[in-house]
Amino acid sequence: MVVLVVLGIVMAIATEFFINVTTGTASADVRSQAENQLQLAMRTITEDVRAATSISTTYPSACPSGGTYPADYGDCLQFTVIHDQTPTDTCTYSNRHLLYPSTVLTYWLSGGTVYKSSTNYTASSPGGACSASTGFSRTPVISDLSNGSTPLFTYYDGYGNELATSGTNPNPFALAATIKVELIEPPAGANPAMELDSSVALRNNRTGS
Amino acid sequence: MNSLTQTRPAQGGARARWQGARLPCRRHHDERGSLIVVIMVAAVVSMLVVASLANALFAQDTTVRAGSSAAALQLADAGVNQAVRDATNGGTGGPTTVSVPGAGSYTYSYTSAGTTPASWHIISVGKDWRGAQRKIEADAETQSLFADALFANSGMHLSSGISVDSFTNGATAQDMCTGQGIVATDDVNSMTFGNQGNGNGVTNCTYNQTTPGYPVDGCIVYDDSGSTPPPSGSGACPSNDIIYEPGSYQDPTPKIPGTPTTSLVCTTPLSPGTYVYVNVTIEPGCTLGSGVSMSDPVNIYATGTVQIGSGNGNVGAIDPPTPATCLSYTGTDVFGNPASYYCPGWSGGLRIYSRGTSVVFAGNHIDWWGVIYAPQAVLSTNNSPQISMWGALTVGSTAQNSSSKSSIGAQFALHYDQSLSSISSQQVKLVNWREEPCPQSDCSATTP
Repeated sequence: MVVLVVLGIVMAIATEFFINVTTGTASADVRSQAENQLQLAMRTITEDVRAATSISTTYPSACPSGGTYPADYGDCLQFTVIHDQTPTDTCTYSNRHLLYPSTVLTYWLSGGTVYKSSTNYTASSPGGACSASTGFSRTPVISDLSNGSTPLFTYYDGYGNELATSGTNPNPFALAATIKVELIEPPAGANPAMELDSSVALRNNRTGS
Repeated sequence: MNSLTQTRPAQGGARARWQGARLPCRRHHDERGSLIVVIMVAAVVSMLVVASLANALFAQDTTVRAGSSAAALQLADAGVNQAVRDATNGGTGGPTTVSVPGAGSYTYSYTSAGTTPASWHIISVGKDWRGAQRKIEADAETQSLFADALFANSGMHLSSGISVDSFTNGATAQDMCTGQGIVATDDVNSMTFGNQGNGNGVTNCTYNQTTPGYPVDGCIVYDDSGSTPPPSGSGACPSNDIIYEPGSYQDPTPKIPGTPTTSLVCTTPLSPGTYVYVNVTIEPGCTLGSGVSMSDPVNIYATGTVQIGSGNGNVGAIDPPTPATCLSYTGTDVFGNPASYYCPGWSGGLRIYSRGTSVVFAGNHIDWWGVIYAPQAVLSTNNSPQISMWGALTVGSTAQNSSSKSSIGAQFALHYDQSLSSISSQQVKLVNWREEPCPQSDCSATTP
């Protein structure tokens, strides 16, 4: 009888512990998976944004129609990234810069999903003009976000001042020195909403010529 | 156990007897049974603990890997910076591995990617001490002292009648008009065209006889604010050839090799070498002597005023090109100048560096070949018309006020010699920085 009572107590404790652990583990799993999902998406986005050579001042057709710059810079960003090349694989000659085959990347947030599209520009022969070649369009990077009024991208100049999207001139955005990326997951079960942000210094925009 | 034996008799005599007879053994069996249950409970609890621990370790590992990856990127970036430093010594190098105690290591290499301007392709792989790797590729470019036809820090005022174009040589009309006649400024707010009102809107070679007419091939604005677009349209910047560059252009102040006490009025041929004066005046007869070339130029340093030509009359051509190759060019440009005037590198033979505050083209109808680097000076022409220059100019500003007869006069034509872009400022800029995939199986810092 004593054994049963003791076992009962132990089992009760164990059951309670099991339930707590299971609940905690499940919650931690959900949180961990959400965090991993956010981190993977963040890594993809920041890796590209960090290498931006130039930021478009013309609202891209890939983003949701009806948008304008600078008002919609918050959820739509298009920029050029120079990609792998050999020294002779130039597109055109410029006194100022070496020009290489490049990729124009577009990230935008629509309906809780961050999408990415790309267009590659390559030369048919070394020194030839760059022309659009392969790429992909509208590929989801991460879904089920709840950014709401929080912009996906926030822009800062070289002095750390935030660039206002309420103006009319998109040119300052082309010279942004830092871009903050914010991803927000909605609450899941007992877990509150999770926000992950990362401020990326644009490596190719950090200094003047 | 005592309570167990006391309750047993109540269950019946036979059973009680049986129980009573076997009581010692039964007590032993009860203990053994509880042990199994305890072991099972302990096993379950242990499994739960292990599962929780594993989950925690997994989460910790994820965090650690994220940290390692970030550290690997910083290490790779360090390799890029070291590669830039090494690359400016010339040539090709690496892969070189540098160990960073307590952090990991980075391996970098650089290969020559061009000579005009000198540039290098850089690959760097950072490796965190836990093994995480990331790879960066970038290009380092030597900055040209004369990347543009005309650069003014601020106050770029270009009167009506000015034209800026470019050339590679004088062989054909296309070679004499290559579309690189670009003007650049740090201050777009003070950039004006046609401010003086004289002249008839002379357009440069590229857009001559076209509507609208443009005096320049393009405009580059080094301005962080980007708040004001430069003047564009007819008589100003071509609207589709305006480039914004981040930050201000950091043009180095000329270092004067010595302390001058005298001034130069040059009327005789100059030999290759370095000259230091207070004021410098270039007049007819001041030609490039034997042996002068782009690679062995005349370098004149001034602390005061630089003046090209003198007097109020027609000055004419000061030191026109003499190389046989250039003299073989036939015909004229769209302005009627001999094609031989479009002699690549000839202007690079005469380089004037000034820390003074004034660069003046004095006199009418001056044709001159050379480059002037005077980032603190005001460029003016005493309102003299018909001045042509083959070369490039870097100044602090261009004069505006016509009443003082100091602004750039009508028909000031600047023909940019594209070979001048090879003149280095000794500054290197990192461009095209990007991260490349770095799988464990192929993550080397060597040229692909």
